[in-house]
Amino acid sequence: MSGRDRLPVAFSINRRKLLSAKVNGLVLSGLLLLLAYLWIADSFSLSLRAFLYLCPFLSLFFSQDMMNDEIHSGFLENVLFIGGRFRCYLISKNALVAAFALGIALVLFSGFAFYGLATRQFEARVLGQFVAGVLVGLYYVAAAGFLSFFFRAGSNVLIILLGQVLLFVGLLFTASQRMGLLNRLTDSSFPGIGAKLEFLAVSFVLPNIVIARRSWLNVLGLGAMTALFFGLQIWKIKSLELRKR
Amino acid sequence: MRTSLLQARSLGKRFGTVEAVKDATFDVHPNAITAFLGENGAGKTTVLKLVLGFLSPDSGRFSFSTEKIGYVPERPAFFPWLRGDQILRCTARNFGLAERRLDRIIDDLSRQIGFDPCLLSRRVHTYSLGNQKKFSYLQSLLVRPDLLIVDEPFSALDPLSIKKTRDLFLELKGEGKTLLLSSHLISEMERICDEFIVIKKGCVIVQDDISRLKDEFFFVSLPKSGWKRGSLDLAPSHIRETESGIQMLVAQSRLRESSVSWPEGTEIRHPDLESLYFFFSSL
Repeated sequence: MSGRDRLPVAFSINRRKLLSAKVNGLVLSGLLLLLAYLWIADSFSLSLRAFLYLCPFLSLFFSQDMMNDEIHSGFLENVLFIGGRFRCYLISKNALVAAFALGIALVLFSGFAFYGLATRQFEARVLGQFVAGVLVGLYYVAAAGFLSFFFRAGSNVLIILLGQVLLFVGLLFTASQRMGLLNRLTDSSFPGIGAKLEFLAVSFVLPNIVIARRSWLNVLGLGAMTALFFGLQIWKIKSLELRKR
Repeated sequence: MRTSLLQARSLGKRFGTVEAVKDATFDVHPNAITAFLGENGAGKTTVLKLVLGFLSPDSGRFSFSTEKIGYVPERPAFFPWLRGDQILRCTARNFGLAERRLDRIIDDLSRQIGFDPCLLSRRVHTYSLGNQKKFSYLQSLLVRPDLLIVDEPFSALDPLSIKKTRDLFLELKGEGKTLLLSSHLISEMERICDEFIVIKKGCVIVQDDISRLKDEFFFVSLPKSGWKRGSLDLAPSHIRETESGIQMLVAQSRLRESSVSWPEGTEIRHPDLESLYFFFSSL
């Protein structure tokens, strides 16, 4: 049986997992409520901007508990996964989680795009921001997926969020010493390779800033890190054994 | 030469400093029930996991002559977000079974193994251990395996289910299927199996046909005193010394032909699986 034949089964298992996780439903409902509130209380434009920045977090939350529990719980020691098929299943999880999040993001974005086009409030740069958001979503799936080999349940997501909070608070408390970086972030101007690399390092922890401050270096850097995390996952999975329960 | 459905040669597996499997060489022959015996920690489950692809061998090789393999683990675990019917549909789709006949097949198999199909609308992790085991049988049999591998086939089952499972194994064998059963319950294995493999400290020390040993050999136990070493020209693997005496597995023909005078207290009987297991595993 080819890997392609097994994909629908992996999709079916993961779709049900994503739908049955209460936190996913809460995050999605919360996002929809927030967007609706911003639209009604403020404007379409603010709601769209919030959507573009927050949408990648759907991918992050959908990536909770991707590997560790399934590997160590014994679920994979099943007739469905004999002959090393569990490896194909685990590799395909990344694509399925990303596809699920992208599907929801596309539906929401279509709604915004149709309304924006109809009311002439849609700007072309929004499309670029959405594509950058998709890349950020993929980065979250790859990074959270890799972390989930080492951390149980939703700890992989919490670690990323904690990292973001710590960086944000760190920047806030050291703002006076880091005016250069903050000014460059505000101006979207990164003169010299040092400033570009500094921004790149920040965007690995707070990738959502790439949505607002896009530069080819950062998009390529984030893409390379996404590929690296996917590569590391594949390397881990290739040598993975179902050892203990 | 007999064909093999599963052929394992010199399999080895190390976990850190522990050599879990050293030299596992054995064959699983078609249309037979093979018992895989060994004490706790002997390496039975590790060998099964190696051939099923859940672990990668450090050395050796194995091959199957079929792709249709079923597996029932000792303690089955299932995705907690899936109901029984959803897992079975996934399994059917994965193995290309027609959806329209599925319900009837599930009903038939449920009856065969004594599983209540009403449970299928519930998530499997909420079942009792025994029902999870039965569900695992149901899932594995759904794929119509040529070879069914079961780790501790009777664990978590009640006496009636044990009987049903035993009957199921014999029915499957009657249908031309092959079974490899790893178990501690030698008495249960004796009632159904055709061949046995004994593994000790990661090495397969013997594989043989039970009925052949029963038909062609005698089990001789005798006190140490009065026994002259070399009276019978026996292979070292067929003789062992214990604290209480000497035990030997002697071909019936040789026993008839020999003119050995047995000392007083000698007991000669047909071997059973239990005595064979203890004999070989203490060598």
